Amino acid sequence: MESFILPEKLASQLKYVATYSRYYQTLFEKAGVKLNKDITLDSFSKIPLRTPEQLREDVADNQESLWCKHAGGPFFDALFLPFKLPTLQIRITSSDACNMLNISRLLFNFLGIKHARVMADFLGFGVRSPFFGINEPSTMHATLFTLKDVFNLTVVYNFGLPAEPSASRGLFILKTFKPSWMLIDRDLIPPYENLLKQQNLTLGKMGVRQMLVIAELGDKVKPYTSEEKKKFKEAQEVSDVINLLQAAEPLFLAPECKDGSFHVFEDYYFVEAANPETGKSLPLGEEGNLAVTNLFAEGSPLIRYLTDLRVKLICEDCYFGKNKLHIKLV
Amino acid sequence: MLSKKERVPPIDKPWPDEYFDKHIETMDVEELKRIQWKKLKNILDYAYHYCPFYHKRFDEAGVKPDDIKTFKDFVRKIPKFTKDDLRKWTKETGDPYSGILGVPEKNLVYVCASTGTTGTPTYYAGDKYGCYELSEAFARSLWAARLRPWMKFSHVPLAFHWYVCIYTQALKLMGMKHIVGLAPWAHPIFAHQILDSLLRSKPDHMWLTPPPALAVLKAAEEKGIDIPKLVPNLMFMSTGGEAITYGVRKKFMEGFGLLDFFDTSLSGEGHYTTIECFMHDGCHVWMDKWFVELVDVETGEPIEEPTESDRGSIVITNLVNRGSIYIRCDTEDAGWIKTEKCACGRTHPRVEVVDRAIYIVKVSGKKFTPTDVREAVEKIPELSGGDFTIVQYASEMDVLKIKIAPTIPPKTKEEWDSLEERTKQVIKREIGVDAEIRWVKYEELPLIGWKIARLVKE
Repeated sequence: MESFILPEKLASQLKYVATYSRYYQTLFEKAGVKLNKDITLDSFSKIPLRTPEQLREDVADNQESLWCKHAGGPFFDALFLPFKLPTLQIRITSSDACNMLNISRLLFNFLGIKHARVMADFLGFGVRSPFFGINEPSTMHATLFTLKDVFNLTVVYNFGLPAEPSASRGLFILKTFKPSWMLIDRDLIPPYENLLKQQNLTLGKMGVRQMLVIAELGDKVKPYTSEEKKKFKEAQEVSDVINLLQAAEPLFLAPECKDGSFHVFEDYYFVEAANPETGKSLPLGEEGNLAVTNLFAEGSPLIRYLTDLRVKLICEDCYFGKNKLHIKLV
Repeated sequence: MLSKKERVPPIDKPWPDEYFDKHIETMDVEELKRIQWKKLKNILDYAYHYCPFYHKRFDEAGVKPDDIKTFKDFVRKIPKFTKDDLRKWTKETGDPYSGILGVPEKNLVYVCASTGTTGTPTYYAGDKYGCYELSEAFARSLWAARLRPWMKFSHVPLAFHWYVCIYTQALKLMGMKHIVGLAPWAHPIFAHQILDSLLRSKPDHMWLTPPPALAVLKAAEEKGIDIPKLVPNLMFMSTGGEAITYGVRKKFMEGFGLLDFFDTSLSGEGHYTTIECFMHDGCHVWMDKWFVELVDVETGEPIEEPTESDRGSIVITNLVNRGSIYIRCDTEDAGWIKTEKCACGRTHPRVEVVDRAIYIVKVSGKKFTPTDVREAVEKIPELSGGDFTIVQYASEMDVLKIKIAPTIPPKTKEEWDSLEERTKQVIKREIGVDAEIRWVKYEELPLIGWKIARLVKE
């Protein structure tokens, strides 16, 4: 590991933040991180891990320090993790949004959501915005028009709020619109389960075949374990439940592969299993907390964003090719 | 730093770049009518042959598109419909698009379900052509509300709503460079987050629906935050989704320290949007995109050539959207229409929505809307938020039963008694009916989506 030279994209992203982000300039300086020509994993490990809470606290009084202000083009400042104060304001540039659009394409292709009616029940915001083209103006056109033509999806949104009236409205949409796919935040599922139980119905009976369940790591929402999935599938009579790991702040998305591990889009993210106490990045197969570094963000790049998800990293073959990096939940 | 007034030209006069599209916005009315007629004939013919809903209704009314030779023929012969007719169609046929879908489902760009303010939600759909045309209309509206590309614009979207799809594209069309999302949802529960974000991002122009905007002002008051002082560059604000009273407008102007405030009417039915110009004499509705008319609320008969004093239900025909086609769609919004040229230079008619037509209540022989009640109660400082719900216990009532959440709750029993007495007096004086008041907390008021349900049936 000593001689490990970081992938070119990561090295360039580190140089980018060290040049343009005031927050990271200070952080690197304090931690004594020097970004010379050959950045090794060891020197990368010196960059402090930041949990969502620490990050929000760090920039609570000066959120602009996180933004790389030189990033040009139309941009969008989005507020993330709305249920908590202090909030974090992230800047998304057109280039970020285009990258998110590419990830959306990969994801849709991987999940096989095509020619389908879809109901989406999540806060159509942040990382999910370019997903369907809500909110972010520069990708709106591209997403609606490009993804629509490529995947032929008809999507109806629900409120995306964890409240009973929201689920009632969602149930009405399911009854009348009859979508075969349902995309939903995990924490919004219980109100549906309660309502369906009261009416002696299941999602399967309403026509839903497949579910994409989003677990927001910044909100400490965990994905379904295989046992929970099995129970849910039986109870709701749906044929498939796919987890989607998401961290809104570092614009991170990772879909679940067939074997229950999570695929990493290595072109876009550098992930580590990190030891939260020592801050060390652990080798493949060792257990640690998932830390994410975004490799494409221009507006608000985040480095070593630490989640509380216990994982180990493995390399295996999957839909995307041979020896691909995967996140295995512990 | 320049003061707000120094940063922009005088706000009570047309700006040098007043129009987004000067040619169409100031076009001669006769010319506009010619465009409108061409589009109307086109969509009428298309809808009859493509949409089962219209085919059936036109046949039942014994009318064919070719029978329509003038605008008068159109408003007299073509049957109008309401949301309930769409719901009925969905229930009978199982078609979620209620038989008004104008293109194959695969050609739709977006599908949205309505909030459900008047019952179960209905679906709206947009196609590419309609999406482009409507976003152009939105861009004109936002421009009329004095939003310019150099401004920092903040909004709190209703992510599920049809207008967001169009709105974001309109912002792109206008060349907006810096857009700030203050919160993920325009809901009063996000008031503190919106306030926090507002203070930090310091926008020049803001779009926010009234309930969260009022909640933000309340949150600022509780925290002792002076928004005009801390966000000195916030100049303009536009809003929509609810009728705005004079009291609320004043509160926004003072609370946010605005130079000007612009009201919008937005309706999923008819897929239409309107905006106030700086003259504040009704909201402009673009003639080349919509045909707007007024019908009598009780008889349903069209009010031809309406004058300023005529009140009726606003009926919309969307001339551009082929996703969901709306021909003579009764929005059930009560209001008025002005057709003469506006002093801002725009020749397009103006409409003003007073309230939902179906919210009209009858108490002791008097007819009024929740907005009338709101105008009255807002005159009392403790009730300035206008948070109340009317309880309708019969179609014709003897006494007005109302649940009110005071903005500033009294502390002692004497103060409560005095407030109740004053409220009853104001309602008697302004509306002329007796009231029975039940004091509740804001959280106890029924909400529909993000709006307070102004009328509930018991």
